[in-house]
Amino acid sequence: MKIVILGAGVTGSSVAGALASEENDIVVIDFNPLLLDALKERFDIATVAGNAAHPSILEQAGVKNADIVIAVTDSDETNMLACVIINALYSRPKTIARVRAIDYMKNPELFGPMGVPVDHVISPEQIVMQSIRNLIDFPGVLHISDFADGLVRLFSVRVTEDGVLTGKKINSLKERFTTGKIRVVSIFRQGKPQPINGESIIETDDEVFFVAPRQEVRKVLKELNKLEPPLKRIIIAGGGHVGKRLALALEHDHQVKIIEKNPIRAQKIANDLNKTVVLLGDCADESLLLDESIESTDLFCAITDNDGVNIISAALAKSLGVRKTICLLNHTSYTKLLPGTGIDVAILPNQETLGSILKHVRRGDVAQVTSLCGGTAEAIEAIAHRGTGSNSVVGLPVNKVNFPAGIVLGALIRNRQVVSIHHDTVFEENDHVIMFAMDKKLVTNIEVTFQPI
Amino acid sequence: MNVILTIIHIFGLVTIGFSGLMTTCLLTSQIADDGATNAFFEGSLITFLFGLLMFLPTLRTPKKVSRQAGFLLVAMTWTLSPVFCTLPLLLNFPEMSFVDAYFETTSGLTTTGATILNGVDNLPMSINLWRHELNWIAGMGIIIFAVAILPILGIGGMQLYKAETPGSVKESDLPPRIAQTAKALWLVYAGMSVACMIALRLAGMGWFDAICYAFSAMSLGGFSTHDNSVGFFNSVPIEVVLSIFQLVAAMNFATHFIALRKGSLHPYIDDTEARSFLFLVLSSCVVAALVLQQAGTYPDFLTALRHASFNLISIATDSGFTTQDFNAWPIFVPMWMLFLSCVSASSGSTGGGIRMIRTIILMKQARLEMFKFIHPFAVRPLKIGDNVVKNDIVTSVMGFIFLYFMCIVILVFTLLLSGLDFITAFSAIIACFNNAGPGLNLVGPASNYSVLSDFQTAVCSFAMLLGRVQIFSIVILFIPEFWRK
Repeated sequence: MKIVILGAGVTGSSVAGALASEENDIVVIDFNPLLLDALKERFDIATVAGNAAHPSILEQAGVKNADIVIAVTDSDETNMLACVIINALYSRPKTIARVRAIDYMKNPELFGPMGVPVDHVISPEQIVMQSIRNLIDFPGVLHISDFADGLVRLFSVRVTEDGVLTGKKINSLKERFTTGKIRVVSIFRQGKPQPINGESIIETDDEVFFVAPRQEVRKVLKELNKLEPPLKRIIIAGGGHVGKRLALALEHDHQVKIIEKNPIRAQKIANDLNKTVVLLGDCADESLLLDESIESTDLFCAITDNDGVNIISAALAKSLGVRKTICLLNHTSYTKLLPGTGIDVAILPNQETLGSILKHVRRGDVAQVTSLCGGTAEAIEAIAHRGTGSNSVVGLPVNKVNFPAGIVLGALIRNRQVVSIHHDTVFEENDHVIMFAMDKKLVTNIEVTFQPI
Repeated sequence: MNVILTIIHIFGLVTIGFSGLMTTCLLTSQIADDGATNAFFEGSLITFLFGLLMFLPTLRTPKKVSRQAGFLLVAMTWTLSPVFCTLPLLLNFPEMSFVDAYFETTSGLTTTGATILNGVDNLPMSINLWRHELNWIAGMGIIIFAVAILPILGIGGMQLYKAETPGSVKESDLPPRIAQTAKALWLVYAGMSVACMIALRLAGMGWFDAICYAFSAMSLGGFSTHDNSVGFFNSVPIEVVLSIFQLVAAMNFATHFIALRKGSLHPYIDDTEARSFLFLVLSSCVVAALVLQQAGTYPDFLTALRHASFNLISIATDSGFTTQDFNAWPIFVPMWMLFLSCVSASSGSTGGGIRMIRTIILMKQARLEMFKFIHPFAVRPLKIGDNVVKNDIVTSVMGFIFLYFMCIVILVFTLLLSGLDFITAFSAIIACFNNAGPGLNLVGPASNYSVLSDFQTAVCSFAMLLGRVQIFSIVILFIPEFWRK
């Protein structure tokens, strides 16, 4: 597939990296040649330097023959304008644009048939904000994401030494959760997904991934003694896009404080927020944190745009006695630094954004992708179609489908109902199937068996 | 020099306008044959000639008014207009002193409603109409003053006006230009006056009284055609109609305009001032009624509620009608009424005092200060509804409040020095400064300001003027920098 990416920023480069390793032809456009050179050294891609919204630059990048254009420059306007130009001049490529400003997102008709011709609008801040919100709603989980419009959730918990899960076989868990709708889909050991089957044994410090219907998540967590008291008092470090959105979403039923070091930005968010206490200062300033009684705070969310500040302030907050910390990391590799700092959860915005882009890039009829483990593993929601090929899953029972090792079935949704999966369950047309792929290279197999219409 | 000529030119126009107003009374007098025809004829002629004398020779002066000239013009209009307006009174009652007449017309033109006249029931019809017309025209003038003139003079600037119209009342909802805005608000004011007139007629007043009371109710003036004020009618329907229209007149007319145009009540709900005003006044009515019932002033709660509500609403909105001698009530109630007269009326209404918006800004600022003790690093703007009130507006409000209290203190001390007792001096100044009307004790509802000496009357007149032009516009004339080039 030929893919053109506009913008070689953080998102642009991670998307380029993830897609380049899947045998796609990637062209990246950015007006900073230095960024492009760095990118070219790391991945096997082509680059064009210039303004991403200029027709001649787009032409040069070969947009004419591209299948997908992903517009993720820093400027919403450039992204949208590029889509307008591509639609007017080429009309062939599918367009995906990142739009950050809430003002644009507030008007859905703006991207409707009469509006800006963008096939898929993604808003990373919104996605990141939502995943932090989920973590706040379900304290105790490490990761949580929605599938099938929220009917099903994928979530993970850490196994503690004296926990319920330690030393258990996966099969023995099945007896506990009798409905057949709650399934263990993966175990991460030292950050790496492990091949699992019913006989695999769960060890201390493993991260266990479950797929469960939405309303049963709480039940499962309770069963595992993982449901912690709710997080009420929250300090957010960093008043950027994510921080502000998060504060807006939380301020009505939580006590929210937000620390921002830029006075102008602090003033601006203070104007837009109502109940949130906006503090001007450095989020790694011990005296500020003590003044704001960090020791009786439930959650410290370090979400500035600087990974170093996030790690340091979250670790500091933890050492000063905050109950729980969430740390945002743009560089996935920094997750290695977290053990020992006491930081509870890392949020990887690239991974979240990548998922939302990938679901549009995948070839089969894919409704949702969640990228995990720095992009190597994926949870995917695919829709089964009979299609023209003979290798479709439709009509086959589960045990007759030849899923490669490393792909685990998580949930089956039929007519917006969660159906329990047994070995003789037969796939039907339009079934939504949620699967876990240990390695994303395996996803190609899924793409073939769940064909687009 | 040009500046002075321009001011004289504009003021000439205003004066001619007042002579036109006098002719309506002249016609009334002619029809009613009440004996004041001559006074109005001579009065309007003299006023017209003076006006022409100021207007014609200065025709060629530039029409642009500088900010400094604006202040002068405001001060001149409010202090000198009452002088011409005294003419019909002085000509009709040769024994009346100028100071008393000036007090009466100032009281009319500042919509205060305090009077020095005894036996207003027996005044010529046209003289009574003249007093009420002054109230009504002043009410209109005040709305325009608030919307069009104060912003030009930069008292809080256009920002204060915007800040004073919070919630749904944003710029985009009002006509874009000041002249159009003023016209729209005029129309609302005039329309409501007609509605009030008809409602009063239906409630049982004669046409003449209905016109007069509609004039003084919508302008929150409070002049009356009877010595007993509204108590004369002793009628619940009339009291209810007047109470409602007084409450309406004490809300921002811009809110009325938007509510009428959108045909919904939402603008009122969104208007922080209107909400706070209604809550404060209506809850005060209930509390006052309970106090009066407990004290045994009135036998049952409903009677107490009726009298407490009407008098409290009337004083709190700075109107000043009375039905009972509240001087005889437990001191808590009349004092609370006077306090409400300081704070309740909304900006952009015909009421006086500090205005609700300033009260709200100050309360929020005080809370903010305490909040900052707890969170020394916090950044928190002062918000009214969803609108952020800028810091310089908060500062200017604090400056205003300081001046407000200083003026009251100085004026009260002046009256004390002149020999009045404290309650009389204090209540007279509060009532005049907020343009409410009746005070307590000597100047209570049972009597009037005629008991005061000429000096005391003059002090009260000055208090009314200061309060009406929001202090700044007159006090600024006493600042040396104002006169330096």
